[in-house]
Amino acid sequence: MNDLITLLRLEAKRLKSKAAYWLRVLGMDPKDTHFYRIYVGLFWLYWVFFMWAYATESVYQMSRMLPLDVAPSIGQGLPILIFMAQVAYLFIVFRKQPARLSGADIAYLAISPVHRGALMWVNLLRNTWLPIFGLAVVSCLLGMFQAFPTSPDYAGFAGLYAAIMMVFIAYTSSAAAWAISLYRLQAKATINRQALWAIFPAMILLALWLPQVGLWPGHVWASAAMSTPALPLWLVLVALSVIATIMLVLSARRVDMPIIIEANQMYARIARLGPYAGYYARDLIARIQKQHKLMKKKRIRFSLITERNDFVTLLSQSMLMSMRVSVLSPLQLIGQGLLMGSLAGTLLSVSSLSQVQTWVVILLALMMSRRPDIIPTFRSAMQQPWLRQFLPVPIPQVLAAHSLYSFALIYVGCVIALGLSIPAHIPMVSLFVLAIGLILTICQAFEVIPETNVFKRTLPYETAVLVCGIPIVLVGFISQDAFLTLATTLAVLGILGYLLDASYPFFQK
Amino acid sequence: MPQKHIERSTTYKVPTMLNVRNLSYSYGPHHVLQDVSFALYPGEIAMLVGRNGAGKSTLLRCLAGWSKPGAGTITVNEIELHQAQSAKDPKVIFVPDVPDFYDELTVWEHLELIGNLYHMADWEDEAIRLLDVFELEDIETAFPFSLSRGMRQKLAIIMALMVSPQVIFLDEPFGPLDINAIETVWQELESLQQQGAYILMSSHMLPEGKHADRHLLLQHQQTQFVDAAHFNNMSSLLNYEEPDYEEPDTETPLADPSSDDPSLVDEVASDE
Repeated sequence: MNDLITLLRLEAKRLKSKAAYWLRVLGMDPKDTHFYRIYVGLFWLYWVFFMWAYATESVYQMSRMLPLDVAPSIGQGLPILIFMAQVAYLFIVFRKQPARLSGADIAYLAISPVHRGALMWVNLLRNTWLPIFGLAVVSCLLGMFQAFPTSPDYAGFAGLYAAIMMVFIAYTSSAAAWAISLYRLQAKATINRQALWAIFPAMILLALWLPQVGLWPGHVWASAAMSTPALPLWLVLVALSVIATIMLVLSARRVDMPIIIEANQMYARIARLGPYAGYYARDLIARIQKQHKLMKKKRIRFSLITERNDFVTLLSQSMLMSMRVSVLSPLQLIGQGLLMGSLAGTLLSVSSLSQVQTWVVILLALMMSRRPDIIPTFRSAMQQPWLRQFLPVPIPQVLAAHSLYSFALIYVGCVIALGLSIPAHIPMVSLFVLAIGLILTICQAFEVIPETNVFKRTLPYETAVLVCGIPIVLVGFISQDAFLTLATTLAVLGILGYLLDASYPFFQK
Repeated sequence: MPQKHIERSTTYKVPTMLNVRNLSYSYGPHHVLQDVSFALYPGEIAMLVGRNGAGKSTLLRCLAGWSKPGAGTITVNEIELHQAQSAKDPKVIFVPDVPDFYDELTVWEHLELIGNLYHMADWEDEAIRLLDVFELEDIETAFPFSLSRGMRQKLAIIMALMVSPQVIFLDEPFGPLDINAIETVWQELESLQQQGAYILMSSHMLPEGKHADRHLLLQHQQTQFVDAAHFNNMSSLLNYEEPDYEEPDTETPLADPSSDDPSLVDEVASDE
């Protein structure tokens, strides 16, 4: 109990400092005057109130647009959805252990004699309170959505009960999933660890044969959105939550901590980058995850790097590096091409090229369609001058060799998808895709080449795509002529090729 | 003591020099290097010494072409250094203090890639030899990011040595290395030295026991060669003691081997 109190105090301190950080983000600094803090607080309260009012009003309007019998039927599908979410969450925490320990947790808590059950329970609370809060908000809106058409007076309570019910369901499901997952990680598990995988077919069979039991949480939620839940139901929910918590504490008591620590090394490295890392350090996080993945893999000797000529050597290097990360990379790249081709095909078949909106959408889609995995090898080489100096080959040749493998596979997938969606225009479209694909590849390359003789700096991908795309779009829209547009595209490609060739001569040609 | 270059100087009657003239570099308003000028001889090991933040790494980055200097030239035989290299023979290598590697390639594959790109017939023998002398033979299938800092530094030096560079700059190469590895680096650099390479390495402290042929002191944004007579003063300066440093006598040939007059070098050599 003492451990639990200590951990909760620590967590409260952590939460306080986190809250102070986010309050500062919202403009409320502890050093500000009381008056100013009240002003900012009222501003945000006002904002939250009106956003909530807007959300509920939108829900009300949406529910009014539906026939009376449709809204309740949506609620009938929710038990299955909730069941699927429970199974998916259990699978995720089962496959990879659930705990998330920062560097400080590993250094001071994980290796200390603190009660592991208490540690894991506090960790569960820390990691799940925000998602549970989000689920409760969504659940509240959904409950109101269900209740508005049939009993609008009850809608407010329906939302409230749906939210509370969701908190119980989500918490109990998470705690139970953690308990099962941590049981697998016990130093001396009494049940065969692999046998625990049987829990998944068992759950599915239960939902099929005894839906009243398997889908019970969802049904409880749906009933709460329609009528006030009875007191015994609340008691049952509380009891289940307590049981799940006890299961978790007992299960975590003998957990093999070194396994948890080892599994959290990557998380600790990412957590150290700070709360905004997901935005400003995406590349770094991706690299940390990649290194973590590579460390776990068996180091297969592919012997792909050949010495036939520079181009083949560099091409084989990029193939090797791609396949090292995933042996299924060819399929993944073709899949990406298929996806991009289908989206492009759908857009072209449902819209008209005579409308400027279509062209703007295409341009915006291209600006946002950065594929980081099309030139990963080139990116690694160019971003690190230390490695770049070992490539005694002109930059265009390095780019061509490093991108050919990914580009060819994505292109094949894209052309197949376009061939299926708009078969009549496939010869011309495949040429366009080829030219535009090459332009996008070079635009990505400009992002990592230190400087060209023209720009004297790296060029953001979006800027490069915008600059290249505007003349193509203008010619295409004004002329409505495919050949002229293709000629413009090729001209842009030629200019980009020249700029690439004139880029900073690290090695004099 | 640093006498080797004098012996070698007799071999180069008309010295081929790597000349750095009036090199300047600034980070915004902060001037790091101002009118830095010096010369390096082929087949000598020069050591660039200076306190933390003196601008050693910046100078080496400029010399290697990684950073563009605000002003100044770097020439070999009056030809701009990077123009003097052909695409197939780019032998200017800079080993930074924290080298990075391809995450997806193993130690051996890094060497394999270099061997193939440089069309080296016997790259495997050389790679095996270097891995052996640097005691990395057991980790050739490891990913470099999983190695210790010292091992990564060794791998970087091996990669640089693989291509037998004509000009090699090393930034704080000994920092993370153990004593054996430091000794091995010296041996390999001496072997490179015999092939007539230009070798310049930086350090914030003077290595004990081994001395470079010449020491180039970087302070107050400028460089200065320091002769043997002032070596101890420089040492105390680097140890952050109160400097009783006197300006070195730059008139003596030993202190100024960058002089364009080869007769001075020969004169000293004959004295020896």
